[in-house]
Amino acid sequence: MEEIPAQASKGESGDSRVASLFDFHVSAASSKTAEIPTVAELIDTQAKSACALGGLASCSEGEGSSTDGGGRLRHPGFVLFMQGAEARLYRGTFLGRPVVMKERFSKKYRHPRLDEKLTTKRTQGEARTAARARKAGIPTPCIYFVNYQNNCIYMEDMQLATTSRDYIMAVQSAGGGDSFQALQPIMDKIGQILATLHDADIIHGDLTTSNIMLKQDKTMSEPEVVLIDFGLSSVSQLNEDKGVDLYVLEKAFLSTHPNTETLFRVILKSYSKQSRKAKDVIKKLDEVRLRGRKRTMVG
Amino acid sequence: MSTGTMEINTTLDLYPDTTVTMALFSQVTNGAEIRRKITDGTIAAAVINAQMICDPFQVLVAVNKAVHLDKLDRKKTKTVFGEILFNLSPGNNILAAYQKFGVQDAKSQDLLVVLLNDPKGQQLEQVYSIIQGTRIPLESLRDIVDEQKIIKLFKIPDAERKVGRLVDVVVCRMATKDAG
Repeated sequence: MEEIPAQASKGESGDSRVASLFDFHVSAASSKTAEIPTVAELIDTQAKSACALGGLASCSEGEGSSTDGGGRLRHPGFVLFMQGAEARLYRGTFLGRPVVMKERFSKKYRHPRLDEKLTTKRTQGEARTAARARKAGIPTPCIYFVNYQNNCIYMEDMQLATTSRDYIMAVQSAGGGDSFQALQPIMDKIGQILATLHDADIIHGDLTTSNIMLKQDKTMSEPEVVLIDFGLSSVSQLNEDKGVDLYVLEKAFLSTHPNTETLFRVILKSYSKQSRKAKDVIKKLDEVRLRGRKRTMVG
Repeated sequence: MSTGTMEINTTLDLYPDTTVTMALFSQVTNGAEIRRKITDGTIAAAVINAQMICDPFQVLVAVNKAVHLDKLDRKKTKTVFGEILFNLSPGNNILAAYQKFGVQDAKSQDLLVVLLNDPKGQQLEQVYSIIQGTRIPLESLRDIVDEQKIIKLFKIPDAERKVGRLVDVVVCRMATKDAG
């Protein structure tokens, strides 16, 4: 299993999904006609590729990461599918439902007691903030169980979903000139969700297009924006922190998806429309941009 | 002949040597007696107020956490069954949990019984002989549940209600209760 490529995920939490499967269907999408896929269509294509890869995934152990020293599977019934800087992601079944299990592993270079405290704190924080986000109406995977012994979070596996990263790439490679029109409504929705998030004083901390997912099943006429990976999130009323949150997204956005300045502007416009405190946040965003790096300049 | 699932028998994925059995009883009239028998240990089961359960999954999540804490000897309550009731509740007050989610003071009530490690059904037989009520299929939970009561107890705002099904909202609350 490999690290997530640098431009896709700036934070150390590394929880992007399905990113590595993307390569299989860029060619599929663009080789036929210049037809722009809908979110539902992309999800379908990815699901079919995932089935094909399914056999491979269960064979590869990957650097002995999913077994303990004795070679026994640490998590029987769970299949490792992603490894980030801070956590491993597994897929499996839990009480009859498909789940994703996020296991934060210990960092051996840290002092053991500090490591234990830090890892548990991060796990706890992620669960707490995800619950807080849900209370505010932000769609995010439902958490089913948190094991504080081994820092594993068992959560809903959104099977009919794709990352906005994958979708933007698929649309751009297929659509050429029409891609702006196809992506605009999605950007609009993303802006709204971020506004709702910040109005609830939640800072995501790792906004990238891999952490903003799009969900669409047969009952939905439009895709839904779902946020994932609250591992680096915090609570803050400061416009500065919200501005930095948006700045992180802007940087990740523009580096992953070239020539998308106009698309990102749609997000900001929609954000401003939805949020009551947007004006001050955007002002801070402008200030942060001028500074060049994310610094809080407080105290 | 009744249609529907009269009983759920499943194992916990994370604790495969633990089997869980669930059965639903309607119009139970001897609540007080059942409560006595739970206290004195005759009945070793979680007897739950079915009005507060919107889906068996909700109960399974509570059972999973209870068994998990029991294995670590980190329960907040005395028994794994008490822990199941405690996990179902949004708060940290054990007595309140028992009052809201346990056997009620009512002449007639619907109760969901949860047993552990009863693959041959012996414990269920015993419970069946004590409870004065009618066994009904678990699908009937749909008709028994009082969603407004749940929403009120968990203080679920409209915004959160729209994020997913009620069972998911409740389960997420249960799972993140001790995260702070």
